[in-house]
Amino acid sequence: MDINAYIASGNLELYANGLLNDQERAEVQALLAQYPELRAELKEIELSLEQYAIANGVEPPAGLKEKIMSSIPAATVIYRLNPMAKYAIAASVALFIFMTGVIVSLVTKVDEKEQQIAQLERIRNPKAVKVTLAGVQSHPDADAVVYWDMDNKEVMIDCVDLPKTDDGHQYQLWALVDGKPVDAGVFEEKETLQQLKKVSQAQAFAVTLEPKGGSENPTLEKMYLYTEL
Amino acid sequence: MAKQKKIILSEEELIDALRKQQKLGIDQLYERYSTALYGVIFRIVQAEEVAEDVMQEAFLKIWNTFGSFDESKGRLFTWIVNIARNLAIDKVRSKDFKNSTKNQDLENTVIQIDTRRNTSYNPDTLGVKELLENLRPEQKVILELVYFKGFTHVEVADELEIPLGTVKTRLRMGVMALRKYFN
Repeated sequence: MDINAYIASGNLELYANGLLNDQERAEVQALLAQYPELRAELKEIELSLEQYAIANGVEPPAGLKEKIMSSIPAATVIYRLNPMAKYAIAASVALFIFMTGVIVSLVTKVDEKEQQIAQLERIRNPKAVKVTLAGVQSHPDADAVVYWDMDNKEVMIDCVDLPKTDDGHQYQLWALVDGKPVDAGVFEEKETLQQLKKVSQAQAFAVTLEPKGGSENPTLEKMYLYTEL
Repeated sequence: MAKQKKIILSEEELIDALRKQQKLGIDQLYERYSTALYGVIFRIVQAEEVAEDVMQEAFLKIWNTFGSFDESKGRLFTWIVNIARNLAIDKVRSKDFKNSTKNQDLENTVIQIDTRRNTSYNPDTLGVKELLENLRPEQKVILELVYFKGFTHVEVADELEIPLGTVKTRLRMGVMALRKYFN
């Protein structure tokens, strides 16, 4: 670009007098950013216009200054919040929320562990019978362990290897008594031991997949585990 | 008989104070530039009460929008004088104002500098008459229409019935004459 030609065009004078439209003004500003010679020329133009204005100045009436100073809103914030402080505050709030979440989940975990320990304590009872349930032909890899306390007849199940159930289904334990299946409770695939119904006697245990809430009779096609004692 | 100006801050410090929204910034802006600004405003609105109102509006606008001032785009004075001039022009073009003032024809709009008022009240004056003598008449007209009357260069071309290019050239020549004079 021919800098001298641009300067001679008088565009900078128009710019300094606020006579350009938004687009023209943006064009000049782009050129100003690029060419120090234009910035220097503009500065000279502005300085002389400033002198011109001062030379032609008219003293305002007395009392106007007071009027103006009192109409400027008083600075309410004396200590301006350092912009960095805003970020620091936001960060610490976020950290607090995060830590609260962490603490809650830790406490929940501790609770769970305590429950597990309690359950394990119960099955340590020498009178508890441990029955490993074997997967049937259609589900050979399925695995679960039943702990049957012979004293109080309480039954707990530990799902070692069972597929996760969906919302509409649950597993159901059956105690076979004289060839007839007796409902021993429903459960889901969980890592912790689950307490089921008391079983007074059984010749075998079976686990089937049932609709949520269990069934009156086992759905034999959906049998996962079966073991005779 | 003019009041002594109490200029405490340098221009840089002044800008800084305004950025930080310190009232001292407005105080110093007034001390430094109120006369120049009032001169621009008054020549456009031609009535003291209106000029006072516009002056107040201008200072408030400067205070409120100072965040948008960018030194890389021009000097502080240019920024504030454009704010003042635009507010004055808006006032003149507003309905209320039009109803209350009579129209001035072109001869009257060429500034009749009140030299008495200037020399009495403005100790900074560098001999306005002398200044004006340095400008060629056609340059003087254009400078005054643009700077002190708020005409756009297009309006000047219409009013004086000269080509736009001529307006631009004369404006540039006028500013260059000013530069020579002040340097």
